[in-house]
Amino acid sequence: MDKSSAFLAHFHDDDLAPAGFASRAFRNAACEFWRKSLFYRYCRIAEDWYLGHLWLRPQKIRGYLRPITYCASSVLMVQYLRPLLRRRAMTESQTSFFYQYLVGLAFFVPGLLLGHRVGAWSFKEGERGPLVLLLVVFLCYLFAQAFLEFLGPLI
Amino acid sequence: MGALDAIVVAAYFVFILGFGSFFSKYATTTHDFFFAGRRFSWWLIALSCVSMVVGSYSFVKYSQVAYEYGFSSTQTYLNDWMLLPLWMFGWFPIVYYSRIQSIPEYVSLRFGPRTRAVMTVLLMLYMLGYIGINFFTMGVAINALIPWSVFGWAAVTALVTALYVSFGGQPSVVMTDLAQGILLILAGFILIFLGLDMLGGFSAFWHALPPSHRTAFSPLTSPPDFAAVGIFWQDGIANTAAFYFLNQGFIMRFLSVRSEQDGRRAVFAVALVLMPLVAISVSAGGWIAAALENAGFFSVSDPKEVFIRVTNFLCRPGLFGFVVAALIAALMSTVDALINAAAAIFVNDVWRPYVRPTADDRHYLGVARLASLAASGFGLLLVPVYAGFKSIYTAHAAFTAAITPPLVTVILLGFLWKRFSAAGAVCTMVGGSLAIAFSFFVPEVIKPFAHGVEPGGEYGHAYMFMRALYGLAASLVFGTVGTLLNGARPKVSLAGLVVGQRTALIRRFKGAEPNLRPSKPIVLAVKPVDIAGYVALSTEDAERLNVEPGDHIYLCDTRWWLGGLHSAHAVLKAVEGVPGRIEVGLDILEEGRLDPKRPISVVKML
Repeated sequence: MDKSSAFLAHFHDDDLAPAGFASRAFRNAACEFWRKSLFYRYCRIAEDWYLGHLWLRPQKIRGYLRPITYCASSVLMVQYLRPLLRRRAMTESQTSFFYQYLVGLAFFVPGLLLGHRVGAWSFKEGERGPLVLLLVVFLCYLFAQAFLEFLGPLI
Repeated sequence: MGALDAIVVAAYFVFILGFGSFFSKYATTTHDFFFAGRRFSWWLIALSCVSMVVGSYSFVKYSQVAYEYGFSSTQTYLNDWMLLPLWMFGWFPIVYYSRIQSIPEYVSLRFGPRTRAVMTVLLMLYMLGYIGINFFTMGVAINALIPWSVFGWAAVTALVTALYVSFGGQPSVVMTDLAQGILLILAGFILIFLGLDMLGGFSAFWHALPPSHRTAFSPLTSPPDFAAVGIFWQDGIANTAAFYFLNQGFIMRFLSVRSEQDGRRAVFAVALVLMPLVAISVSAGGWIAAALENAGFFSVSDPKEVFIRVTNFLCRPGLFGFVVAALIAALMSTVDALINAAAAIFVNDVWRPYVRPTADDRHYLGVARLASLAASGFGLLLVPVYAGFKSIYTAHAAFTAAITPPLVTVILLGFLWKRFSAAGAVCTMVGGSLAIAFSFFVPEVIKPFAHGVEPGGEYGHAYMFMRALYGLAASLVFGTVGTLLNGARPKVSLAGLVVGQRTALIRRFKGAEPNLRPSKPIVLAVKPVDIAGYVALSTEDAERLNVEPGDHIYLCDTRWWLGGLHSAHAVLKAVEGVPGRIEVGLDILEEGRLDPKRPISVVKML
């Protein structure tokens, strides 16, 4: 199994529950709870819609996009949980940081996957350099802004 | 402004005019005039793009924002990463390999000529109005420093820009923008250096900043004119998409690179490396001013003047003129790209298809030069109009806000959704624009999209930033509904016009099966031959380069710092000759300005 297949398999329905930290019974129960949750259902509806109607072939990269759906949906939760987050000492501008990176990923990751799909930067041909560079710079952005956002006012 | 500063500014004008005019010899065909022969290296395009991104207002506007809000002023320039992969892997291969010359031409291929006509009209109105605004802004800015006449200064700027763009085309635009990009980044860093020196170092600067100024983001939903969520949707998504996917000047710049890979490298460098530097450069004045004020060195009465005030306070005579020259550079580098782009759209989407479809290239080159002059002249004529009727200035801003989301949606759905039809595109442009226009009169319709951001004004001034999200959503709905109700599949062939067909695109571009085998450049001596279009390599060199007859190769002067100025694309005709030497036709050497006495670098392209 190559790396992309393994990554896809990781997100297959039966593997949604985190593995390795509890008994099989607990995992099954957690998985069942997760599948019945409204959040999960909402994400699946959204995912089915955009995978079914836009340019992407669902069978190939459904697994890749699922976490993105959850991220984008999480933004809505961030919205509704903002008063709670404020009570938990998260400032408004720190909420902005999460908003930018959660919603931003919904645009960023499909583009990367598109590149992978068209074979522009294939994993198979050992051309990881540019893709890795892109991700490294992205993470630098993320960490630099997180550093400034969370530690800047305290230093 | 003293005499020495005025001399520096005048010297800048003379330098740019001379520098731009020097490269006019590289624009001998329309392909050169608009796309610089597709020969430039990635770093040249990346650096020249920077100055195109930064407008004349950038220093003034972002210094004010930086003074008021601190480091969060960089949000606008640091959110291009979100759409970057989609551009690199989805949009760029389409525009590069399909040989389109303008955005309306893509629209024509994708949706048909009627949609192209609508797009052409909207883009021309937007660009000509924007050229006028840039001249007007510049006239006001220089007139504040050297009192004479707003129109007079606008005319001087227009004349200098029009001259080098009209004669030099894209090569002049790229080369002058390179110089101007370096100049404006340097100006911001000079301000930082002088400010830190006066404050006593970085630690003193940091502690002189209010804690609220040290965060990377502004609050999510307040204030209405600087809420992070508003900046995200307006600047990060709508404006970034408009700039990267729709801006004719930007697209033309990237059609000037020598290869797809160089285009990707260039956009990577622009969005992720140079934009942070630019963000610092244009904001520096505001940060330094806030720290200086907190430390008791000086005070700012009007935040709008903070850039000029802090520059005047920190810079000695001569250096102040240098920073003002950078301000002018920011304008000229934006407006020259706009003029070149307006000329490209006029020639490719109006003159060629509707007026003279079968003229020779010399004719179109002449029309392109005249169109550049006309675009500059028309922009200049708008200056007194903008000066006399501020509502027209506001109306153009409203017009831009109204058409940007629909046009962006048309392009994005056009290349991402195969089923998206011409009917859907028209619905998007008409319905989306009307929906946004409606929101100027009934801003309450934006409220469900506003994330809790307050309106912050009435009518057209309400929800200034959140209007982008509303506009995108409305356009998306109109486009989707229009396409689904239309029912019919697009009639035009979509080959190479939607994502995921890169190899097919390259095949069509080359006219044969592409050679995608790995290869490294080799350096060879040149033997000129008097056979048109002829290029031959020895068997050994062909094996080293991994090429066969029929493959596309790129011949380039070995001096990297020329950035591809002396280079040419060619097709390998034969494998024969002496190892270590390449036989090249005289016409190719002349086209690429390659010196046969110098060794050249040979690169496999396709």
